[in-house]
Amino acid sequence: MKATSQIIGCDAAVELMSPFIDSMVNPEEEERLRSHLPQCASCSRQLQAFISLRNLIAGSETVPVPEDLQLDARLKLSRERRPNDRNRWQARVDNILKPLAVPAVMGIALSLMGIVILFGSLFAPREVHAKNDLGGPLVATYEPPQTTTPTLKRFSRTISPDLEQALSIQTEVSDKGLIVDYSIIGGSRSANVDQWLQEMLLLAQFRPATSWGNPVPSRVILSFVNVRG
Amino acid sequence: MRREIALNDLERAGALDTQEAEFIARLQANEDAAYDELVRTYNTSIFHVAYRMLGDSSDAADAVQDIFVKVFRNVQGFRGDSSLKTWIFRIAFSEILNRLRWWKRRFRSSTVSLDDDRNGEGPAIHLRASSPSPLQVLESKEREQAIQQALTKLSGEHRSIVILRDIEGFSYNEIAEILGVSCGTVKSRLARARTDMKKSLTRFLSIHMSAECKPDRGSK
Repeated sequence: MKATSQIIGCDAAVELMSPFIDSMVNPEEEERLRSHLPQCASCSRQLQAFISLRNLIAGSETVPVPEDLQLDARLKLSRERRPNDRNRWQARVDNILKPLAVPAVMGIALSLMGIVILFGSLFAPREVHAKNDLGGPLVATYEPPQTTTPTLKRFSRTISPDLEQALSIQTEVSDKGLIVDYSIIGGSRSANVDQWLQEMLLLAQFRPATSWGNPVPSRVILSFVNVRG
Repeated sequence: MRREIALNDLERAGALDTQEAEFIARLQANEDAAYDELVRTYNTSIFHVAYRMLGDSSDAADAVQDIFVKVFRNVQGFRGDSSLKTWIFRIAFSEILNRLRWWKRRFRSSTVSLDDDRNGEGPAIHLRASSPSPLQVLESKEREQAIQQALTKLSGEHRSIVILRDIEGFSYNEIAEILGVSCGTVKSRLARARTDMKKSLTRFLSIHMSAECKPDRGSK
């Protein structure tokens, strides 16, 4: 094929070298390169370098495959290949819904709580309102208050004035058992009577009334009559 | 008849053998044993390609898993226009190049990631059974590091072609099918990539490239 060969330069020769070493040049290109090489020692070295490079790369060490690679690949593939399409779709839907589930449940719960409170306040009986105002519980079983009445503990022994008729007074007894106020509700009133009452009531001492064990203020009505004879 | 076809003897377009056709049918039928065989057959070669492309063992392992998943997802559409291996490698390179583009967008391409460089001593060399001398080990280690660095310097497209051709031994036509380019593009990109690699690896080549070429004498 010498007759068809044409002279080529080094640049053209170098372009043909890569496909040449892979046997990917056509006969004309091969002939051109082969005719150039004997005339150019540099291009001959270039060609040898291409061959050497290819051998170098082809002979490079292979990195060891990770031990778990095959198992991991099979596992991942197995998960992907789950035959039950329904499960696969369900898993996808679950993956989408899971992040939304907690906020949604919380939202629904809070909404229900709001509705219960709203309806409870709308339809609650007025008595409950009144009890609420007193600070009592919203709902409680009724138990009668366990109270005790005040009892006289100490009384002054002063001589009473002459009382034409029975004298009745209403006293306000504090939770300490002391009389803090009084008012005459029956009988005749006079300066002597007032002085005697004040002296007597000032020194009077009661055991205070109690409610659920705690001392509480109370009212005591006292009546005085003259006993003759 | 083109010489390349005669020389490579790898033109198998439209000519799947019966055994491969049966294997593909088993894959399409979602047969467990077929997928086990698929992984067993291809995991090593795909891993090596992925490692050479990505330069990192764990990245390569992740890529391998995703590639098999993509094979499963797409196998129903496989029509046998190419060999199964070519088709699988097309999927593999699609995945790997996507990963490279992803990393490139995050400026990782400028760094060189060498696997097993955990102690800052460069990539580990895996000794052969013949127990080479320490000098040989050192040279081999240095050579491997240089090859990987030279590959990393190439663009993703050029690197793919060098790996497919010089490491995996695919034909030009198969590479064209895998990468979705023309055979002429494969030829020109490979020539360019090899020229760049040759410059990077000059000191490891048996021929010393000191002499300059003579100027082009205006061929033809």
